[in-house]
Amino acid sequence: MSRRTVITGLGVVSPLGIGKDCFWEALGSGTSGVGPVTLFDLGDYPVRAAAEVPDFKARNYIPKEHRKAVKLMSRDVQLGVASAMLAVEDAGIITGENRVDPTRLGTSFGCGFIASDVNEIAEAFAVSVIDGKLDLRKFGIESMKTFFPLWLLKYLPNMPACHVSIFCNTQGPNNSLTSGDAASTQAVGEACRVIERGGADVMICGGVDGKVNPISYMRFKILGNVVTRNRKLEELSRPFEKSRAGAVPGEGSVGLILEEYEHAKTRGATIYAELKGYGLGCDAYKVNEVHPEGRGMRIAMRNALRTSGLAPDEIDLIFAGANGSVVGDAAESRAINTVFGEDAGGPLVTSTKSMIGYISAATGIFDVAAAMGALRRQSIPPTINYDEPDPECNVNVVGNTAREATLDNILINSGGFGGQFSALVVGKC
Amino acid sequence: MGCVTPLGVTVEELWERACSADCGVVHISMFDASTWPSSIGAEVRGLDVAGEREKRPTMKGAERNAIFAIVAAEEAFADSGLVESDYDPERFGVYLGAGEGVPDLNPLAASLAATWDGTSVNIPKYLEVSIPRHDAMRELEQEPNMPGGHIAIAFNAQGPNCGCLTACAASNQALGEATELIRHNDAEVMIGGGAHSMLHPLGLTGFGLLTALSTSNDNPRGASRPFDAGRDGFLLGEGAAMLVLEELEHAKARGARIHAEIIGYGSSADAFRLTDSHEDGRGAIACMRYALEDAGLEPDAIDYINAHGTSTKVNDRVETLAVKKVFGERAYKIPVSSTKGMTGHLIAAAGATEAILCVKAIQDGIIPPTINQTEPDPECDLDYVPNKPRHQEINIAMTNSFGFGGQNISLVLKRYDDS
Repeated sequence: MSRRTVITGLGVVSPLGIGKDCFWEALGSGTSGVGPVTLFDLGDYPVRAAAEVPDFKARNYIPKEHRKAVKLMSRDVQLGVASAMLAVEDAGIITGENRVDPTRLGTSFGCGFIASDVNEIAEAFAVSVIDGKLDLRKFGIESMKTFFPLWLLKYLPNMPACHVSIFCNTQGPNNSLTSGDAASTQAVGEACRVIERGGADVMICGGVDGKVNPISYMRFKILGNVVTRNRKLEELSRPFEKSRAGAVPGEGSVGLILEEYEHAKTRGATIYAELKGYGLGCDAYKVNEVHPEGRGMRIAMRNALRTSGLAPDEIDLIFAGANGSVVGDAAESRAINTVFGEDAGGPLVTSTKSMIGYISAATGIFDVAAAMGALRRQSIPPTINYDEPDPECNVNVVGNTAREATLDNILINSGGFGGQFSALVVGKC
Repeated sequence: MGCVTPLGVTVEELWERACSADCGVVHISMFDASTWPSSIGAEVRGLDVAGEREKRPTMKGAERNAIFAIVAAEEAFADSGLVESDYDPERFGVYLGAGEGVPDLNPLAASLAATWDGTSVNIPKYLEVSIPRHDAMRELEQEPNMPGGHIAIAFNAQGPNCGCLTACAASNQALGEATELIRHNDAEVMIGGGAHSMLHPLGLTGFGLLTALSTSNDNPRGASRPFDAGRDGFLLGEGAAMLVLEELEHAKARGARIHAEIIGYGSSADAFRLTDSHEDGRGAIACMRYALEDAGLEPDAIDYINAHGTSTKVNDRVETLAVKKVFGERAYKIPVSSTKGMTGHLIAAAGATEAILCVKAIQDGIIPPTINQTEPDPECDLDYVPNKPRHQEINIAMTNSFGFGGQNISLVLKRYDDS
């Protein structure tokens, strides 16, 4: 008999607040997590919006005996570890008489490329630039002198999973996925597969990204991702909407506890939802532009349906990857219509990116968190700022206000530059 | 199979030089590394990186890591004999343990120099001066998922496309997880492998500060000495290695020439420290046992182990201990070699490179040596196939990779036999 995977814990560190309840509440109220950048000084830079996690202090989420590790973590790593620890606490898997055998407990994270804090590296570069050129002989000496000794470890993408494995003694399978915008979706899907094949009984899953820092802002701008419309900041993130002009950078993380179904039942765990399907696909088109018909996304959705055993008309809602990209949102819409048929009776579609901004590697796992809330509340969080539909995005967008609906099975889409796409089906257990 | 390594830019060259106990560790020549504590490394030579990039207009901003990846993938694809009509593109994927791209240091340096005031960076000014200086495609190519994206485009691989970056375990893990995707019926064909190039100033500084690198600068060819008493750290290398993995019936149906079979995959974590392995080797022991269990084998069945063997004090001691725990008394009879003596440490690309060496060992009945064995370490007393290759029939090989961060991977490969 096939092993089933259910979700028994959730931690959220988001631009809408920290903790699953305030996250779900804010999503339901159509609250925007977008505001002015406060994490660094923007001066007169024209792009002023970001979706930042408010009042984040990593120490609050890390057990006392491990707090000295915080100084070895960049902000992204701290965010990732925090939500995983919240999820662990939520599920009650490492304390008490029901604690999980460490060899049956693994970790699976989705992470982005973590940009270095410019202040940590600037001095060595600054003193090594002579007559406008980088003198490497000088840089060799200066960098070894001025960089923090464990600098490299602060920024490696496998560090969230590493710290979590140490804090929670997870000796089972351990992976850090770095597949762009599909990373955290794949971290969840792969963890599900590990459980299914008996490699673990419980997996701590996480996803984190942070685009609100100077180097990422520089990149965002030169990759043409940035919104410069003259609008109120909280109105800038407008997935699927006619006047959308790009994505708003965000940061945050979600932690999930995935557990084999019988194991969860035996332990009397709270079961939020079941992971029913996982599908993957690739555009194989261009690395810096998504396929105009959303080819990779279409293949991922079909594979998610195939592995779930569900027919398209059994999907009640799609959490879209759409982040306000002019091309991307339209491509996804075409892919959805190809898979589900283009008619008014098709699945409802919404994008949490309208409220939490674009959190790249973590988008998929954020939508799993949102889907868990939607299933529990039987209510769909809206795509806010949806003033005018775009005929290029001819899908049933739940715009502006939350909508009550009978929800049994939800599909989650993710993917982007590089061409990697993945989808999950999350449903009532 | 295909590869680009410091010991050869094709599988044939890599294997020939490995069987000659050659060494790819040199004085770093790609840039002036003379003031770093470690100025030696394993460089890829014999590949015209700029020329290869020019041939591929879609890879305009790609740096060494991605160029190595595509060249290795092309060699592997050609070696497989696959043509487009052999496969459904939606069932052909890619899983890489691929590192981040090589950073574009000149614009970074200039921007920071222009905005550092002695105590901090003036951020508004940094944004103003850096944006016009950086190249968009160069920046995008630093994302670790780019090599996998380029490979998919090259072969119209629309199936599963994943990347992981579990440090030194990454490409071994990629091969294992790619195998699982095929087992799970998500694909019939997967290119599995890895690519990395951290042989640049920030890589030398980052690893140097962790005191992980050998500083035997006056003796590059003797510096990488896994298990030897005189070992003093690993040799930073670069490269790529790719293997075409295919579901067996699909391969047989098209008359493919099969190199070997992947029969076991084990994955575990030390859950101990950020860099050092658990002193009892518990993570390494676990992953080897899981791989054997997955293969349905007893430890007795293993003919050869390609060790992680980085040439650090800790890894080599702990790995030796772990092998003894798993294999018991027979550990002393199993040849255990670390080819990092010859190739250096390719970081994310190490695992897949070593898988290729295991396949060749199986095919040709030659065990590549651990070179630079001059002074035995009493704590490392296994048969490391010292200094010279050995002719011996190998049917089943195990290859280990243990990454910074505590991820441990073990893969078991078997001779493929038609019967």
